[in-house]
Amino acid sequence: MKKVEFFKLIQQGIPSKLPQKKEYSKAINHAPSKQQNLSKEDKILAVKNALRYFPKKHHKELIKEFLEELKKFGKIYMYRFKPIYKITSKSIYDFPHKSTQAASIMMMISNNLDHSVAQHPDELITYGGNGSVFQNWAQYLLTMQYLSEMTNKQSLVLYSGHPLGLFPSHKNAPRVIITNGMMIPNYSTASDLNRFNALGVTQYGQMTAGSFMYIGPQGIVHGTAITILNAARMLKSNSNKIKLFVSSGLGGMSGAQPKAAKIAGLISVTA
Amino acid sequence: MIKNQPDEFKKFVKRALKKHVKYINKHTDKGTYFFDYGNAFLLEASRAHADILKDNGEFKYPSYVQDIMGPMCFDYGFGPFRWICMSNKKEDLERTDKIAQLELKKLLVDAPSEIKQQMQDNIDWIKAAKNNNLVVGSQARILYANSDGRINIAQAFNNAIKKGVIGPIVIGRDHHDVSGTDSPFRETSNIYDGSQYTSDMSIQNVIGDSFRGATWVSIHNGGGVGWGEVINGGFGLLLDGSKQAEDNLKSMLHWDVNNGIARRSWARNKEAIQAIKTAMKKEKFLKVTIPNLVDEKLIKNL
Repeated sequence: MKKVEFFKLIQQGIPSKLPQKKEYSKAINHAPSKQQNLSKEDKILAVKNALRYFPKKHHKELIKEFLEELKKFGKIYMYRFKPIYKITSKSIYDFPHKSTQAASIMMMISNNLDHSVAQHPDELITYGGNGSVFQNWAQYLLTMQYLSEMTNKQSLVLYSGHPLGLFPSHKNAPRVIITNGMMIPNYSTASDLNRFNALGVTQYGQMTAGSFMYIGPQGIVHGTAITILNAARMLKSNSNKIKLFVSSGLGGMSGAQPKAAKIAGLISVTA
Repeated sequence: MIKNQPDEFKKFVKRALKKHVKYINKHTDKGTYFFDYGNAFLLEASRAHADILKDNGEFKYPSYVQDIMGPMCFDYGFGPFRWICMSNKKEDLERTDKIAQLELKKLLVDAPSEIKQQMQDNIDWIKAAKNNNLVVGSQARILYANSDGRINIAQAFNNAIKKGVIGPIVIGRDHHDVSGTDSPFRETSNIYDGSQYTSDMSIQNVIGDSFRGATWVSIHNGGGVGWGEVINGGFGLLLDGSKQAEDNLKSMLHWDVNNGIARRSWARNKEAIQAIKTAMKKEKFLKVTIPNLVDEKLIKNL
């Protein structure tokens, strides 16, 4: 895609004309469906909440689609609005912007959603099975639009993926302030998360997914190498025979462990 | 099954956890050293009623932060500093690798003996990083550094940007760090004054970063250990070669590391008490409340 076309798509935010409905891609890794325990009222509320991002004229068509997504996946991702361009990290000067700081954040968001980086890119999940960058594609589109037009006298506020808006601030203020999954303490159980996430009012940001700071498996490889290096060192006084590292894990963790053990000079078995 | 029979699924998970613990116990009986590596394994195994608790109700095994990462890294301020090249160029990453290596080597000369090993490990890491082919996606690098290391590396980057040697750089870190995360079963599991169930540190941290020049800040409920089990935060800071960026990186990184050391010191962690005293000697405007340690004999028979 040409740069000028890409700029136009970023700057338009949520398109005024509905993009074509997309086939559910079987070529990429999808997040597992979430637990289904929403009441009828909650289902209505979830769809109503999702429609807030779109003009009235599209509601009729979107209601059906969003309800279907909710029933099928336990969450409304708004698949239809996933952009047609390739989301990937590139030079900050290849993003439309008025603020270089804002452009650096666009770059980091794009890396977190890159198909070669993200675990479930269509569900905007970077790692950990549930580490969300945004809750749905409307939030992505709106955030990128805000970032492209903001100046160094504004700050963008994100509530669990939802771009609340641009607020006047000053040049040495943060350009973006992010909160993810913050709850009134008594409403922070796993089933609360399931429900409030389905309603579209909170998300699980893991650590570097919702904060746009993921750098691929390198982070966990390094941390693990340092950990087992020091573990081996700590145990050395008892025995000189510490050579085997046995572990298990899923996803990014399991891949990182043998690599880290090799760097730390150990033999490893990972189940 | 997660979708349609969630309760049944949970039962399977619990059964698997019990089995897993049974095998771990067999291994440790024969002398294996076991540690929890951050996914709340001990906590979930105890919830599944696995044989993971001692008679006094404590876990049979330590978390990696209790035995290793806490006392050896976090309490001295070592944590997962990272940077990303905004030019997206491989050459820039190679140049920054060399700059970082040089800065760490300079610091190693006068470093206190207790942190020399950590610094050397990370110099070795950065030397081998390119050949280990770790980059997936953006041109990024991670290493563990303390407050001085992070500040000196970032400052050297900012100077190189000013000179036009490299393009702009974003610095940041994982939330899993000295000050960024309150998590009783992971990052703050080596806090033993009862405050491991509070989240003042991580909240103070993000507030403090926000007015010291971070380009973006974030605070989250939930991380590797699950929702409601952790509060964690982080930042990103764009270095563009400007004087403002230099002021920001010095002020923000200093707080972003020393906040956690001060808290760990107040919790009586001896490595942190030592580290914060050293930090106070270097910065006259830093004045931290130091704990008085009571004689154990005096308090034991209370």
